[in-house]
Amino acid sequence: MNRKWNCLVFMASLLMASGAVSLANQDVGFLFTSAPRFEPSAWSQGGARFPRGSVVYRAERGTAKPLVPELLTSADPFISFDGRRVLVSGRLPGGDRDQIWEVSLENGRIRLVTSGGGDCVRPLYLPDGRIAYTRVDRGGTAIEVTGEGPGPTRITYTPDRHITADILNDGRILFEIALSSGDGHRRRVMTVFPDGSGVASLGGAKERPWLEPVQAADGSVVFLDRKRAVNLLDLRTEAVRRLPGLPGLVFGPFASLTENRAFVSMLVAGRGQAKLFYWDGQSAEPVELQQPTGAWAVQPMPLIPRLRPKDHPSSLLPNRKEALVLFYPVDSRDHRSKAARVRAWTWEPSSGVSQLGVLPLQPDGSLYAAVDPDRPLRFEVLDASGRTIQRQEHWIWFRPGEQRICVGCDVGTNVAPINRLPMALQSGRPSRFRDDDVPTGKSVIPR
Amino acid sequence: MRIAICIIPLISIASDLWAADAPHRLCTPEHLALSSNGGLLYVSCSDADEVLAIDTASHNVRWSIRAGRRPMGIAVDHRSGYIYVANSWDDSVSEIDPSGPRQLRKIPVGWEPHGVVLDDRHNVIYTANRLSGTVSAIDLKSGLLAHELTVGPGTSYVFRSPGSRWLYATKIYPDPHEFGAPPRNSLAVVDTLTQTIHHTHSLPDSGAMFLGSVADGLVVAPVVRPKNLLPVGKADQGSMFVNGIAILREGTREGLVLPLDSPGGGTAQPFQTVFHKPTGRIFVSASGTDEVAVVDVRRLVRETRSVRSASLSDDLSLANRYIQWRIPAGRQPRAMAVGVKFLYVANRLDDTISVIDIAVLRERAFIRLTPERPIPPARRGERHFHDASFSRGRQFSCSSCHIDGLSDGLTWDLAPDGFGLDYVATPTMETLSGSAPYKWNGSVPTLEFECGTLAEKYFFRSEGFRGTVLDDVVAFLKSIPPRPNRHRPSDGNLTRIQLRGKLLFERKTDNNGRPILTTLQCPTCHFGPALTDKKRQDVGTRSSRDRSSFFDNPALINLAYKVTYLHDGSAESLHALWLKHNPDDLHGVTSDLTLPDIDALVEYLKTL
Repeated sequence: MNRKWNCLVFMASLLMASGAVSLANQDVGFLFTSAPRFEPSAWSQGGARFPRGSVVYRAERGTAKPLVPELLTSADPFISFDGRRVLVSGRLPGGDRDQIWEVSLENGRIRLVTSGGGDCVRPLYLPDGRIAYTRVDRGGTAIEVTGEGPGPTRITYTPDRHITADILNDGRILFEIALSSGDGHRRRVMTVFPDGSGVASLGGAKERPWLEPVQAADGSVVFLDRKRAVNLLDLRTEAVRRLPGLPGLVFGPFASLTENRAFVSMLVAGRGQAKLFYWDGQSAEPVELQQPTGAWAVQPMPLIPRLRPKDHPSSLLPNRKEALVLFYPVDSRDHRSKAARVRAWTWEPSSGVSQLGVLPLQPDGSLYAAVDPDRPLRFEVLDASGRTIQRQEHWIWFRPGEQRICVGCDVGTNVAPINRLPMALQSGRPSRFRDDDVPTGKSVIPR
Repeated sequence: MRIAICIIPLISIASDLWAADAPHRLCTPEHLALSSNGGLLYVSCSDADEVLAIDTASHNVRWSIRAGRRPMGIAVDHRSGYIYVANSWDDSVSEIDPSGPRQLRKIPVGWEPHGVVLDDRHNVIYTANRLSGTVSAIDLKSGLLAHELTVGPGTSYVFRSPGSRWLYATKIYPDPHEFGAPPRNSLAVVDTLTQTIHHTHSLPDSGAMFLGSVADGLVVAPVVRPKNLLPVGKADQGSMFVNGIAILREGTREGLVLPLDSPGGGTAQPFQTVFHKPTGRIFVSASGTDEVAVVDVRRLVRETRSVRSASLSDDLSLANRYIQWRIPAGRQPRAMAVGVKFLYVANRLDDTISVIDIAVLRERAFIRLTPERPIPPARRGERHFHDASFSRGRQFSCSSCHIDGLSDGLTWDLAPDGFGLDYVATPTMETLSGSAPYKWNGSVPTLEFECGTLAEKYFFRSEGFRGTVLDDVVAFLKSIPPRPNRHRPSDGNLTRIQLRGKLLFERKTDNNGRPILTTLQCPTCHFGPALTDKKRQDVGTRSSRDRSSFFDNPALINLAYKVTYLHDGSAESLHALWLKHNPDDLHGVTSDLTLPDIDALVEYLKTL
């Protein structure tokens, strides 16, 4: 990544940022990333978000100073659940790759977390102390988890570009994908468990492009729409409401302190860069914090402990190499009379997209299959003549030993499955996708 | 603001009970009822075996009185002011004059009464009896049983609208059904004129039903829709349960179930509904998610009139249309009583009553029923056992299947390795102590492993019971006492037929005088305090869905109270065990037994 970064010049332009935000009669310090240029969506097309470098600052008690002076560049601060450590991505002077670093807030000591090729960005703490991050290299992107075993564990397997966003309170990793079939502008919000299983669209996020999601203090997911307005997704009801009172373009992540208070990075009219604001839902206007001129101030992160999310108990079966998948479409009553088969596609870096095979659906729409793990898969439902009825929008994958029930590709999450013994389970044995007996009807080959 | 009002006990019994050096005694409020003028709130305390009367103005205890064992439902006679309390372990109803207070009579009813309701027009009290599966109609004047109406296993609650001819009875167990068929439950409609069951209203795809209410011709009862025929491989999106309410038009056979759950979160274990006519609302206590859902009746009715389809009951997007609000409550809010201005909610595992201001839908105060003291581990464990927040999507807790620590009467595909294999009937928890190893195949050595590692991996799909939380859950499970066995004669002397059955159980030769192999004699596998050798055995009960022929030899304590038998629940009765499921005499030698022999054997087994 080509970065032209004159740290000294930028440092000189930095004014003291105020850490004078009061919460419950206590000043709350915060971290933020300061950069001369910020391209928030560049990752979706393989570009750098901070093309001229960046520095994470710690603003506290009226002063702001670099959090990790040892690093030439730093970004993506993420505080530990106990509020004592921070993860950042960054590189040492002379380094050519971003790695993940852990910084003690008590003594400033730093620890290198990652190694290897590519840039490692957007780190997150997992509830069990492990760390997830996105590795970006020429081959694409992958989310990895480190802290267990000799090396990192890759948990995503898709040609789509993606980037870690947050860890949800229920233990799922929240991430964004830019669909590989488009120009990088078609983005979706997904979740995956830390063992790489259970990848799925975030409830209600299937149809709409939601940007820079993060979980708020009240449990809802805050995301930005295309106009960079802040919206809240209630995870319980999947209701979405726009947050009023923010008069500019917001750049995520939105850093909520309490239900109605947050640090937010916002670009207001007449300004060249987004600045940090303290927003209190009770007051009329967000309050701008003192901060550098001539630079973007983004990625605010309050210096307070956060709720430890629930740990995810991996249910991957250790002795199984393949994954078992039960297709049991909940909303296929309309399709059921027409749906006859399911076609599976896969993708490999060398050969691109190829058909994995076709399996017949049982009369109740069910299908029980064993599939190879850790490879991109995409399914489509075919009618008897081989015509595509329904097609999955993005790639998914299964992990070895994963047992997954798919209730329909890209369907809403609002319908619970009907309680019937799936016909596909009556034999007790899973089928395998085969590439013979391929129907000849018209099909859309996913790119 | 939450205002704690500690009860100042006004009578000596209560003072003794709560003395500082007294052993920790819990109340565990089960049911509530308001006096005629709303001035007193009656609370049945199942762990203290007593009934409290709380002054609704001062929130102090006016009096307490000892009832029978494990008092449950309460009904008030608004003419005399007398209260009637169902004593679930005494199989009786206490008639209490609150002016004393004093207990006037103890009226015998069916086995394990939970719900009680009064028909003051005909001077009859009705009880719903869980173990006998009946509704008892008791003539109030004589205290004698007028009719015993058979409803079905697990009959637990009765309710009616004052003045209405109809009375409704619900069951926690589904109707008996073939293995593999979707469960259905039915609500019995009792005609109070004739004291007969007029008809039953069948609800397809339904499991446990709880305590409902009637107003303006609408019958609304909590119901869960289990997904037991699908593998337990997914915990969210209603893939294990949809918690809902059954809505029926009184006097008709029209009805449907609407969900209380939302796409991303459950309203787990709904227990009771109450109407508040002035505001047109129904309150639904959600005992697994510690809240009260506030349902707008007008909007609810609108949904019932919309286009009906098979998927309406499973459409989780509907709930937000009629649930106006969710009021946080204490731990395991179950019973409720509604006055004009206030809703009273019994937080069963907090020993508190939440007083909710209906105008603002907020808790105004809470009433402590026992002094604040360290909570015993078993009680802490009981809280976790009923807490749906351990499961993904908060849709269920342990007690969603193990209702009241018992069973749901269903068979599930637990999917430990592969789908469509090893279907298992939900076991009861009341006989766990001393019966290790666990699970249908005896593969789990300890409750810690089952409730910790396995439960979170394969049920909750989220961080479950760990550390001290797990210890507490296990302490609770080991503390669940078996219910009194009504089949066992109280004097300890078996009846003639039971003795005959005992001889058959212990016999060493068959009816033809041929010796029975030791391995096929009942006491070889079933002996000791729990009547199990704690080993696995092939008794010829493997089905095509089972991966192994060997199953855990189960404990036989309170065998009579099980809903189904065998590891997969495929035997619907003890008789069926011997008449249908032992063709090759691998499960003991029974092919030589006559029908009267089988009857005798079953009668003996019921006493265990």
